[in-house]
Amino acid sequence: AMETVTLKSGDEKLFQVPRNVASKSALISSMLETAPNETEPIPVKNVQSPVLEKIIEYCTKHANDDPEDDEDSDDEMDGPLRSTDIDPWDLKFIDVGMEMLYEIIMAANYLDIKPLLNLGCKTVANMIKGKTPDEIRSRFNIPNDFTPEEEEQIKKENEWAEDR
Amino acid sequence: MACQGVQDHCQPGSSSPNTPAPTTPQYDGIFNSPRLLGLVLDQLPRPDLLRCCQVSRSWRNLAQPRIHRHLLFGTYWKSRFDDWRHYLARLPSYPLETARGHSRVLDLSGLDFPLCSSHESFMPPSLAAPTYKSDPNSAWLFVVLTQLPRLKSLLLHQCRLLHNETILMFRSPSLPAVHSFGNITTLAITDNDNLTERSINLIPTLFPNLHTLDLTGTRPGVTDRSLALIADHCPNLAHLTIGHMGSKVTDNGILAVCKMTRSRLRTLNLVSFPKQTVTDQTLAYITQYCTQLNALTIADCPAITTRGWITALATSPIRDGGRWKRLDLSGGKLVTGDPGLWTTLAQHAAKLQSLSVSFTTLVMPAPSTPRSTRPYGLPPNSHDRPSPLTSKDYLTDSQFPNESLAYQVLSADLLAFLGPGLQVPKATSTQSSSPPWMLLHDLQIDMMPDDSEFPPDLNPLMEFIQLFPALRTLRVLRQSCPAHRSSPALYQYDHHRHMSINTGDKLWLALVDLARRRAPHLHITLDHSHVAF
Repeated sequence: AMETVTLKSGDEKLFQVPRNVASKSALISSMLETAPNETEPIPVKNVQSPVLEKIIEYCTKHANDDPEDDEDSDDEMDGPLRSTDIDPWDLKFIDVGMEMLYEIIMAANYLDIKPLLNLGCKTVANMIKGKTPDEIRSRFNIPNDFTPEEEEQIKKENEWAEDR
Repeated sequence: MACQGVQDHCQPGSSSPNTPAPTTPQYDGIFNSPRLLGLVLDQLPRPDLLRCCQVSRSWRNLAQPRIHRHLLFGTYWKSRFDDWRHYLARLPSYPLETARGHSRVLDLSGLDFPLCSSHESFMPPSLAAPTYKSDPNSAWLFVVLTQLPRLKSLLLHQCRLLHNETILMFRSPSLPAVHSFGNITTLAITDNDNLTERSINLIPTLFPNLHTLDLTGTRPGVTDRSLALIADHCPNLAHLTIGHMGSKVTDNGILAVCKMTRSRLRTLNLVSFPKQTVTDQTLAYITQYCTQLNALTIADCPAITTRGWITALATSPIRDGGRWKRLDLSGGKLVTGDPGLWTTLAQHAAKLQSLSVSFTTLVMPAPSTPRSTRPYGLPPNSHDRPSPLTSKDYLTDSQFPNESLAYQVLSADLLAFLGPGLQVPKATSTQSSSPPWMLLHDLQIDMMPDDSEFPPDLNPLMEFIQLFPALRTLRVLRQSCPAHRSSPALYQYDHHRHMSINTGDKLWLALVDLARRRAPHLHITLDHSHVAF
């Protein structure tokens, strides 16, 4: 039988998952290493059950990915040079409401699941792409704390990089 | 702002308009956390970063350094020569901590002197090194490398600003002594005929920590000897791309690379050795020495045979059902319809994720030949590479008049391609412990169609697709020019007329890929509803 571990969400729900699935989280993986015979449920306090369920869905799908591939994507050539090729399954997985998207990103950050964090950030970045500063502010509800002079100054500073 | 105080996180269509948006402050977490916002901004190209700088102070603090992170002045980035000149003039005035020190990638690919001012200096007088007053334009690399101390990638594909003096000046006694630039791990100097062996030999001294190196088409400087030197003195070298070197690079040079790098080498791309200086012997060396290699490209090497591939694949150490992740077998005297090759691939490359094969040397059947007896492979007495089949084919004007013709062509070619090999992966899958093709998600087929008329038939295509459960992208290329396939920055020169077909509803992914490749002549008429596999 496959070795399993039990995770306990912030709202005290229990999830039994295969060990290799749970180990997609670097946090849990290191916890398992330090206490390999622990049978108590591992508390994942910061993550509520609907989010944890999504996280487990992702980790199950990617349980057998080559960790090397995760490393490869961690290169300096990333950012705008990164391939835009998002796995179709991932695309569908991350097609959730804004609230859930934020929760997934926070949880992936907390649990240290690099590829999932990457996927979430990519998705948010895609929402920013092509938008004006005003549109970004209203979309994400960010107050403008610049003076008009400052705004003018920034435009000047970045002249060399201005897209034509 | 009108909606100030109201949390508006609703994505159109993603949450019910009747439900009030949640106001838990935690949802703002990703924008209040510099780390998470930074990760988001990391995904954005320069124009977006510039706009992000104008959003708010905290956004600006995070976005500003990232503008400097990727300095993309190459023609692919639609940058103009004046942008580069302007940047260079201001470079020393950018603060190290908030700007210069963040630069990681400098891409000057395709950059050439502007036609009208080829004799003008583009270097500001203050930056031109004293000894090079006579040729101040040579000083740019020196300036860049000394001013950008944390640069990691230097991409100079087809960059004519780079010539011999630019590199040799690092050895000039009147300049401050610069020993090496240890932070540079990725270097691409391609299609540059200005460089001599002397300057190529300086590469390992200047950049001792190279991890990735692309020297495609840089001759006469790249030779067997300089390759050996580079492999010997760059102890971290893991990804190497060479090719288009005339006859200056032979099996001996590759042997030296294999021997020196051994288990370190992960990727080796050999692109175009039409003078037959790279033979099956190279494959044998690779198998013998490069135990950790998992990505191998052998494109347009007519002295590499199917037999060589079969031997190399079969004798390479097997780890968990094969170590090969990416293989590009295009070019060479490759008989892609050879069942032996497919059997070997299925057995020894079960973890393959990406496969590229080429049709260009496959002898196509005469139009009158019945399909069942179509000859596959080269005529036994043919020693020379057969001249590529020329055709007045329907696609040279790169426009598919309609979808059905495109399919007709595709399925006909696939039919010819599959031939007797079609059944092989299936048959093997029942015997092998790890079924083959389970991970293959990217398949590329180059082909040169003949003039034969085939009936439109989608069945082989359907059958073919089903062999590869993980397939995401099937690319069918025509009139391939393998030359630049492995130089990502060169997509702008890529004149592939190519058609991508994706499985499922993922056509748009292929279109993204096409857009990236900027295939300028491509006219896409396929639409979504026609590619529902």
